[in-house]
Amino acid sequence: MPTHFEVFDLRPEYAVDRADLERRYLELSKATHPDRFVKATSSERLQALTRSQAVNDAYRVLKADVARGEYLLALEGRDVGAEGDKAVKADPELLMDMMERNEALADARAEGDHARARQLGDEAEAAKEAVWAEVVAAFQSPTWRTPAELEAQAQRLVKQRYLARLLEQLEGDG
Amino acid sequence: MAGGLYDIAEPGASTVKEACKGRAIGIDLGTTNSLVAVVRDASPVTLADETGSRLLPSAVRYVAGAAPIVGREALASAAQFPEDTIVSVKRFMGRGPKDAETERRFVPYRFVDAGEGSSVVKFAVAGRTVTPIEVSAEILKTLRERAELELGGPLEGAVITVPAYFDDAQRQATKDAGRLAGLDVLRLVNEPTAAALAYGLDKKSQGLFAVYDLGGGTFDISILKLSGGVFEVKSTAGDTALGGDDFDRALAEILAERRGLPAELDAGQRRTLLDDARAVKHRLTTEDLVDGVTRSEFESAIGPIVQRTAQACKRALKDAELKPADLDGVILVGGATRVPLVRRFVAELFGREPLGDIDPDQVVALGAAVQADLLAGGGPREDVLLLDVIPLSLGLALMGGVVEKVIHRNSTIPAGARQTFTTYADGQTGFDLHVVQGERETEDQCRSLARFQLKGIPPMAAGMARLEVTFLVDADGILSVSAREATTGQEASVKVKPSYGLSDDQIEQMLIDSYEYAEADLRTRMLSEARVEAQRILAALAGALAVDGALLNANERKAIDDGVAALAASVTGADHRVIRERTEALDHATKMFAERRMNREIGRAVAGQRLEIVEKQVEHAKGTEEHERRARSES
Repeated sequence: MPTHFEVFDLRPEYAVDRADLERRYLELSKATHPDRFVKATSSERLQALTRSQAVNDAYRVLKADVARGEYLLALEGRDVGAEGDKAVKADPELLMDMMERNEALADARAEGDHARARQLGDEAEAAKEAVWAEVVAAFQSPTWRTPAELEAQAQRLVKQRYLARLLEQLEGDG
Repeated sequence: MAGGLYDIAEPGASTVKEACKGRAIGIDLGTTNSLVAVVRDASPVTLADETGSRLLPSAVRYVAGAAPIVGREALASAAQFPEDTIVSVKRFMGRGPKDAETERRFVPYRFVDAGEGSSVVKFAVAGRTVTPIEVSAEILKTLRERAELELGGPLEGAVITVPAYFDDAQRQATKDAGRLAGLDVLRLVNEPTAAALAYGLDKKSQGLFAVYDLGGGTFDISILKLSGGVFEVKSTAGDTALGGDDFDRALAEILAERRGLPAELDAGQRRTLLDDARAVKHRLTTEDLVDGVTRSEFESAIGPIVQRTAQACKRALKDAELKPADLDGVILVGGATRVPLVRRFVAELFGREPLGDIDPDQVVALGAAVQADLLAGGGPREDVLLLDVIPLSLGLALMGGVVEKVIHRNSTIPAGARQTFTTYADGQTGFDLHVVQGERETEDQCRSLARFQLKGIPPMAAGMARLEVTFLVDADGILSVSAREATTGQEASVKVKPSYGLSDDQIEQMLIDSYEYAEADLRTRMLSEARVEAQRILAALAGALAVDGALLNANERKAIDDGVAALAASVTGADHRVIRERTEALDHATKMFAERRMNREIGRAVAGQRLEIVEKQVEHAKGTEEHERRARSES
């Protein structure tokens, strides 16, 4: 199985030229989409189906900054989406921070304090943007694949996930 | 939008040129009306029946001991035979007996009380029982015959449109209906996407468009990006039980009150009332007072229904990460968008006057014909591509009823995902998966799609087997599941139990039943289908070998040539099973060839990119050089 980057013949780096990626995507779609193979043999139709699915999947991941960042780390053996014994363990400090944010939010909700909930949301949003800026900066370092930097990057991505989930909850409130 | 790849011809304006007729058709299988269209002289046109009528009312009346009556005649006698005449059958497609409960108050049909385990709605009509799939197949058959008469022979295949928001079961039911009607269904295309294709094929139309499609019984909103012949759906949302029919019902309640009708009406009275309501609705488009109902009364009655579409529009925009002001246009589709209130509502919601210059009743069928023509290879296919999305997330029900999403809504199709599971008991050889569709987080709040039983896992200690399950949603938006045990590589067999639909065996049986009294007919049909398929693969393969024969070594080439010879020899025979077997054998023999061809295509696509970039750099370099030269000469 080629990696998502290999599908587009790109180097596995965080920086991606969006316009170039889109052009590659459309060219590959034109080459593989099942609509092009309606009259072909069953083998070719099956090929088209699986290949175009792989192209769509790769594009979905690479065009989105967070998904692309997480995928790059997963390629280096640190999958922040993994569960069980392969899961990336969050630092105690990070866990504490998240617990405090969750509790504060739960309290604000219980008291019906919408202004406070909104304020907590804004803080989480700011924290998420800050950690993402760190992620992007770290990917630009030529040594980001060293074990220590990978571990630090994984922690940042875990933090980003926690914050994104918290914000999703808030959005669910309307 | 005239000019470009296709012109949208006015009905009757085109001249017939036999040589230019496409043999693939596009069908809009609508809640209220259905249409069939073909591409003729590079323009799509809808086909009329012998009376000149293009719209076929989606009404089927069953008659004891005779063939069903389809269309206007069936509709006209619906009040007289309310229980035997099925109208708006689309609302029951892919639905279970319990789902339809909400609809039953309004319709006069006799539902067959399905026993335990029955998953489809059944109607008792004129001494027999039919499913919505069979009723839809009658409508499709009528359109197929209309097209065959017009084109003077058998068809190459059909594209059938479905609401973008149709779920897996509704799509599968539509495809089954096509098969039952004797159609080779090339593709299911989403209605708004088909409409956009009809509008946007002038390659110069670029930008972001919203298609607001309010039909007789379904509502869709799709956001598309058009660029260089690529129609990329960014997001879609909708409601498969919301449409012009609901306007009729709201109006029928007003009429019933005006007329002093009792609360309980018999089937015939209900039908008459709904028919009257529809007529009043149509006249209220241009008149202010009809049958004692004012337009403003009508508008306040339907206001809440129209308002329900706003939520879907907002969600679609949000999923596409767009604001109304980002759009370049809004396209109106569906007969219900003729209602002035709907037009005003859309204009206000999107902050612009919507486009409606192609007949909203015909535009979907016209787009379907264009796609059918492209798929069958009749059109300039190189630059046109439809990239559509799955409307609802697919998820797996885990222990405790929690749903884990495996494919998210608005993912471009074909879409897929792979998940790994393990066994929990020693020697376990089977595994059950419950697949659901929807956005909610628990099993009972989502729509059950199917239960997949995986069998044939090699016996191992608990937790040792690594079961890799692949979910694949094809270009029709229909899911398939395959599984293999990763450590041994052994394929597991997957048995599908659709929650709301028929199994392949049941469809096969329906096909057989429809030929109950004509055994010979069935055999002829099976034989002819097998021959068509065999000839298709032989033709496709001959073309591929002529171009890419060099990709094979002598042994590989011989294996394929032998398969071709064996199949070619069987095609003239009378046994469809032999033809099928040899088709499959040949298909197997060409697997490697297909893979290499695809690899080469992909290589070319990527290389084309590189070439383009190099060309641009060269151009850029030239530009710089030019600039420098000029600078030098100036100095």
